[in-house]
Amino acid sequence: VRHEFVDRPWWRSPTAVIAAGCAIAIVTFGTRTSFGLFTAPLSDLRGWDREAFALAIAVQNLLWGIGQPFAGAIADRYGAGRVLAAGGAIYAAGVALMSVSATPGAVTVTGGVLVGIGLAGGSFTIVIAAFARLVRPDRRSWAMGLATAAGSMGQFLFAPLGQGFISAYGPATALLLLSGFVALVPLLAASLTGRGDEEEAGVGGESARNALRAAFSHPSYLLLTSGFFVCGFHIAFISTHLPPYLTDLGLSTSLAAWALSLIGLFNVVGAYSAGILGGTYPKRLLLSGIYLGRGFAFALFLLLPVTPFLVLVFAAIIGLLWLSTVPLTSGLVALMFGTRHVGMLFGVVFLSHQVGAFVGALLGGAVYSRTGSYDVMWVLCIALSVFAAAVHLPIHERRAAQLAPSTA
Amino acid sequence: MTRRRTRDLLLGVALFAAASLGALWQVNETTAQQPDSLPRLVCPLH
Repeated sequence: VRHEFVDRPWWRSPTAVIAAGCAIAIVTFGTRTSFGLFTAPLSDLRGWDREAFALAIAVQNLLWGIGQPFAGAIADRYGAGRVLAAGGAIYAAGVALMSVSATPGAVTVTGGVLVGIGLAGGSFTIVIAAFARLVRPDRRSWAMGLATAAGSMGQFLFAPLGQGFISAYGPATALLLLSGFVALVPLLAASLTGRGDEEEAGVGGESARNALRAAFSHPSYLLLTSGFFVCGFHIAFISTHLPPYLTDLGLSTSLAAWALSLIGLFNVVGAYSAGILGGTYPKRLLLSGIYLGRGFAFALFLLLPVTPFLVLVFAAIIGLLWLSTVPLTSGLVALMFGTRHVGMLFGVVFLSHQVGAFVGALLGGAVYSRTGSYDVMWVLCIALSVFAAAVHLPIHERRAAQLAPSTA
Repeated sequence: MTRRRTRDLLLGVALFAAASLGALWQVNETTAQQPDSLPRLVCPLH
C-alpha cells in the first residue's frame, strides 16, 4: 500500500493530502459557522425579518443532508477531487451571491440552495471519503480525527474573521471576502485527486446500487446508521436548547457562553483523540463508550443540583464526546465496505445524523412548549445514549462478507 | 514514545492551544457585545 505515493508530485504526497483536506474542512466549516454572525446585520441591511435568513439556513441544512449521499456517489465514481472542486466553486458562488441577494427569496436560493449543494459536494464528508482512499490504512483513523478537529477549529478561526470583516466593511462586503476563502477549495482539492490503491478498495466491481443494497442488508451498517442518528439528536438538542435551559434555571448568559465555548474547545480535543484511539482500539467499543459517557453526563446534569461548576464540567465532558463519533463512524464504514463506495455509504450515514439533528432540535422545542421544561428531553437523551451504546456492541468490525473481493 | 506518537501529541497540544484562544475570543465577544442575548453554539454539522 505504501508504494502508491512513490511517483507522485509533492502536492499529492501524504502530508500534502492531509494538509489540504484539513484546510478544506477549516474553510468550509469555518465559513458556514460564521453565518450566525450575519443574521442581524444582514437582515437589518436588507430590511428582512430574522425568519428570512433562518429559512435560508434551514434549506441549506436540508439540501446538505439530502445531497450528501448523491455527492458521495459522484465522488466515488468520478473522484473526490473533482467533486470537491465543483462543490467548492458552487459554495463560493453561493456565498458571493448572498452579498447581493436583495430579497428573502433570493437569499434562500443563494445561501440556502447553492451553499447547501456546495456543502454536500465541497466539504467534510467528501474529504473523509478522499482520506479513506488516499491515506494509509494505519494512519487513516488519525487523519479522519485530525480533519474533524480541523473542521471544528474552523469556527474559532472564522468567527473572529467574519466579525472583523462585518465591523470593518459591513455584512455584504464581508460575505464577498469570505467567498474568496471558499474559492480556495477547488485549488486545495487538486491534492485530493486520484483513487488510491484499488486492491485496498476491494469492491471495485460493485455498482453503486448493488453496494447500497448490500449495505442495507448488512446488520452492522444499519446499527451504525441508527447510532449516528442518536449523535445528531443529542448535538442538535444541546446546540439549540442548552442556552435557554441554563437561563431558565436562573444562570447567566455569560455562563451559557462559557459552556458553549468549552464544548467547542473540548470537541477539538475529543475528535483528534478519538482519531488516534480509533487506530489502535476497536472503534465499535470506543463508540459504545462515547454514547455511554454522554448518557452518564446527561444523568448527572439531570440529577445533581445545577451549579456553575457542574455546567462547566458537563460542557467539557460533552465537548470531548461531541464529534469524536465522526472519525470512528466513518472509519467503520471504510473498514466494513472498503473505499470504493465510501463516499456514498458514509453520506447515507451522515444523512441519518442530519435527520436525527432535525428531530432533536424540533422535539426539544415541542416538548418544552407542551410541558414547560426539558426534563422529558433529558430522559430521552439518556435512553437514546443507552440505545446507541448497545447497538454498537454487536457490530462486526471487519470487511462485510457481501462486499468481499471474492464475491465482487 | 516513538517519534510518530510525539509528533501526534505535539500536534494535539497545538490544536488545543489555538482552540483555547478561539474559545476565549468567543466568550469575550458574546458577553461584551450582546450581554442580554443567548449565545448560539456554532457547531460544524449544524
